[in-house]
Amino acid sequence: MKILALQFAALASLALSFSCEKVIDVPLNEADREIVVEAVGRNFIGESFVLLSKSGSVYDDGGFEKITDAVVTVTDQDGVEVIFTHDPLNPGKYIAPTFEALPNSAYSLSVVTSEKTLSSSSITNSLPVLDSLNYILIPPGFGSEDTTFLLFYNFVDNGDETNFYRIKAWVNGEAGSNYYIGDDVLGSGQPTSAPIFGTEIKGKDTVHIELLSMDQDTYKYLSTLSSNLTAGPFGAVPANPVTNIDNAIGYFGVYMVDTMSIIMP
Amino acid sequence: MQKLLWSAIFIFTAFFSFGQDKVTLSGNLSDADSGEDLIGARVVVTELPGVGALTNDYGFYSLTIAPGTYTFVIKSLGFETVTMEMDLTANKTFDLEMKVEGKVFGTVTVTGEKLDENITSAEMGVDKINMKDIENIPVLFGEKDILKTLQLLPGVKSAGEGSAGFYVRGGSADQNLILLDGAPVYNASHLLGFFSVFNSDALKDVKLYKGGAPAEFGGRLSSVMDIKMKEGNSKRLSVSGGIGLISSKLTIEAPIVKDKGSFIVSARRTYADIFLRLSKDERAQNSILYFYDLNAKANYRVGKKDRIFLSGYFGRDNFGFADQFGFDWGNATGTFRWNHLYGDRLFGNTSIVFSNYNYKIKFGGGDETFQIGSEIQDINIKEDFDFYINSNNTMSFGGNIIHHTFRPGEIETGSDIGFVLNDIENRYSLESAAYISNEQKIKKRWKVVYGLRYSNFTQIGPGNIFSYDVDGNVNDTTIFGDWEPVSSYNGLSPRLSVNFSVDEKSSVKASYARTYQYIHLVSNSTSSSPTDIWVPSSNNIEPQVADQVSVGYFRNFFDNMLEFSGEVYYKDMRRVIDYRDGAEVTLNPTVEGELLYGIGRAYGIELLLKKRRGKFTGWVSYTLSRSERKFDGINEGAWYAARQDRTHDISLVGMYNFTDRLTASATWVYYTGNAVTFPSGKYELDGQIVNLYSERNGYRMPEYHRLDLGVTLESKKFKTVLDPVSGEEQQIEKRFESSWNFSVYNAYGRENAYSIDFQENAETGQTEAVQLALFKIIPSITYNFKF
Repeated sequence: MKILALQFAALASLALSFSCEKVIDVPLNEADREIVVEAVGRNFIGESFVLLSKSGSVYDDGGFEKITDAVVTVTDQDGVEVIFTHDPLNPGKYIAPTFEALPNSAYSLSVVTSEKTLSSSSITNSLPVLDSLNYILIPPGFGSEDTTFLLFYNFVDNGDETNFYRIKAWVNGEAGSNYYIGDDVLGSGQPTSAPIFGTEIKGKDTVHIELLSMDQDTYKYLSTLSSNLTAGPFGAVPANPVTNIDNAIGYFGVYMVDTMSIIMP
Repeated sequence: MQKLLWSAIFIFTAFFSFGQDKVTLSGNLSDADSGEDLIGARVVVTELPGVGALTNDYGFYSLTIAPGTYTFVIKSLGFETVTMEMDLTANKTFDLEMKVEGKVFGTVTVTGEKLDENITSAEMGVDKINMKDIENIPVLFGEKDILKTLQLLPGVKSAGEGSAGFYVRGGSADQNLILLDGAPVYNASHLLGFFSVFNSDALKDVKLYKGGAPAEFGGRLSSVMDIKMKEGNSKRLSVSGGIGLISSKLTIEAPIVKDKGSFIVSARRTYADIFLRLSKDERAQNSILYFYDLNAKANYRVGKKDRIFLSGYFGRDNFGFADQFGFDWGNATGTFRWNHLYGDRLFGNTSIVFSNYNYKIKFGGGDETFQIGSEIQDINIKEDFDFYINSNNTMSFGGNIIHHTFRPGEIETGSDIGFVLNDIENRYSLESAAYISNEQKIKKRWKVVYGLRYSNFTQIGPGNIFSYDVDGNVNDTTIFGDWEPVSSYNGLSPRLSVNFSVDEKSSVKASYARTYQYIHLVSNSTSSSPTDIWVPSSNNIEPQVADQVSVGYFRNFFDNMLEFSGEVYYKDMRRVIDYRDGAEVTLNPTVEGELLYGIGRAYGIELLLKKRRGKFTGWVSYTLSRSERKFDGINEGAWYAARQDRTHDISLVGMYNFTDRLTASATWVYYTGNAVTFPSGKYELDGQIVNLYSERNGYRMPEYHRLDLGVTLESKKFKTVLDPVSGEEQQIEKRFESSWNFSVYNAYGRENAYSIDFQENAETGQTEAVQLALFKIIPSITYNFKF
């Protein structure tokens, strides 16, 4: 549905071609500094990480304060604890080089900072499988002067479980900024084929696709995060994303990921 | 509850039983030029001060008095008054076609209303618009619009720049019942709200009840807008039209059988898409962007006592991009009406009403398509009676039943798309009501309208009906069969309006009304969108309820030339709806789990000073108000300003007739900015800067103000010819009339904020507040003609 919102906003902006923008001065209140957690588990060894920082003022662009002295632990359903240690090369980032998330498992996160203790949990589904990538040619004139490609990803949803997905795309190593997320409420157990809208793909480009499966809380967080990022006249009512962390903002999500790459002709 | 209602009806009828020593004069009043019925024209009896009758929406009047010889005076503003003596010994029918007043002297103001109607009527909280004013008041792109003009009256607020949505007395936009010939119009906006769906050429009368609506109306919390289409000229063929900057329109009206029946067809289409094709921007060239609408109505007088009407509206917006993407939406309504006179004093009206609103979004072309659709459809059967008991009492009663069908999401995929998606299940419900109301004159100074409305809403199967836990997750599913009741709600709405005439020039009025709303618009975007969906009350959603009290003082000055009114209101709302943070509204089968329920309160004072006659006419309106909401789970459970909360709202409207042919007009509006939510902090996540919000609607948009100017130049209305017999010069009315309208929207180019976004400057990385303003100065020109 986010794709729809994008298209809709693009067309609406046409209707508003009489409009004009300017920067104005809006004095704002100062919210209390909050601890921000971005805890990401993945099924590839060493790719999991936890980022800890603090929120800042809207007009302050001096960067965000990083939390470097926390104790971060991830525990699986069997009680096996893995400690994520602070990476001095990346302030605020905690890593565990041996950690690998497994399908159909449950994980809990504990973060102890000098101020407070935070906790959260996340579960994983079965591993999703990307079947193939295919594309159609878009002749010049449709939004671009060159021939471009509309890339489709294909996979079959697992009908035995409720699934939530995110698709991420990188073109020549550069990540797209759009959020493609969806659940299987309307297509449980069905083959799915959908295009990567809004990312321009040209000849000889290398496109890397990740299909991520996640639990409902993570999906809720990402969908409300994407609403937060697109707030505006045609977007959602401004609201904070729905966090699954006790005592802080941000989220803890363990993803099951499948990847596939293609070099365009 | 039903028992109570029937006893009430019994008491009413028993109370008003009357002796048989009286006689009734009844009939129809219409315009001699066009044959259109006159609404609100009056028949008064000179010998009996304070005794008279008003025509209803179909031009019918009925007056019951003791037999005798009387002088009847028949008046309607803008028409020549007719005085005649009549010997009334038995019941009598008298129809009259009234001539337009002072035609030779130029412009006339056509409204049925008597000059001191505002003082004498028990109605309060009612805004009326003169259709002639609509033609002169300058509007965006010169596209005259009743919804825009109504927003210049006190208590009615624009939902924002370029929005046809409106807020009445602190209520939300979906709490307004908009009726076109009795059919609800579910989405009254074209082009994302820049224009309303109402083509004013096809309209005859508009009335907006802001509170204290008659018991006949119900189903929405805040207001009722009752719009009536023209019946069509029953005297001769008449064609009118207009060519404007962004749209053109044409109206044809003619008799079916002269004086017995007539029809009107009115069509309008925009052509902004033609300009888009001229654009250098490729994206614009490939874009499709237009709307059209069609109004049609026919009526036929079957006999002395029967008349039938058939009317319909069809409108559609089309939005698209090449053949890759299409988005269209629109309303269709149809009304069949049968007026029947049961004797001289009982006027009956049977209506069958159809209304549909739907949208479709299509991606891709050929066999590779993916289409989403959503729809709400009503079929309504309604019976209304006006019973003219005697010259002091007019009773209305009736009832209706509506069958609602809600189709939240229908999904179609082309054969090559490779996957199937399931539709979201339809929902069905029945909404029914019965009402009785009486308008009673008590002595010379009091007029009271009291009534009772009983309503029922029943959600029916078939369907899988979900129950939710406190977090909005489904915890139970029950399967219901066809027509099987799922949940049911009842509502009893008392209505009361009292008018005390202090003297001939002033009156004090008070009113109370309770209203129920059973269907709710769910929208999670800041501005209204065609994809907002209507959801019915259900096992999870209780109906919204409001109680409103208002008190007003009305006074006319200088022989009714100046009219002043001041009204104070307080509205208490319960079970109003908002959404959980980040709610997914579109294509969500469990959307009911995303809703939160709370309470609301709105109060304010509305002042209006209007000059009604003379070369200069116009009004000043001012509203001071507050509208607040309280929800568990929003703003930590504390009261917060509703989006429609606006402290000050001022409108100035002036029109000046320089000559018969030249009219200039100006409007100026000012209002406090809407309550909005701005961030109070920010943080970094997933490589993006995310806003941190603290309190809901804790900030204000900048104040809004705007001046619009307009000039209307009409063609000469008369031509000079030589009388072939006498050789004298004579003035003959020309059949062909035309006018040019020039207008400037936002004349001093104020950049009013449409939205404010906090975003990073792409070059400096600095977070900035970026204001988007929609329209600077928009001049426009329109040519109108009629023959």
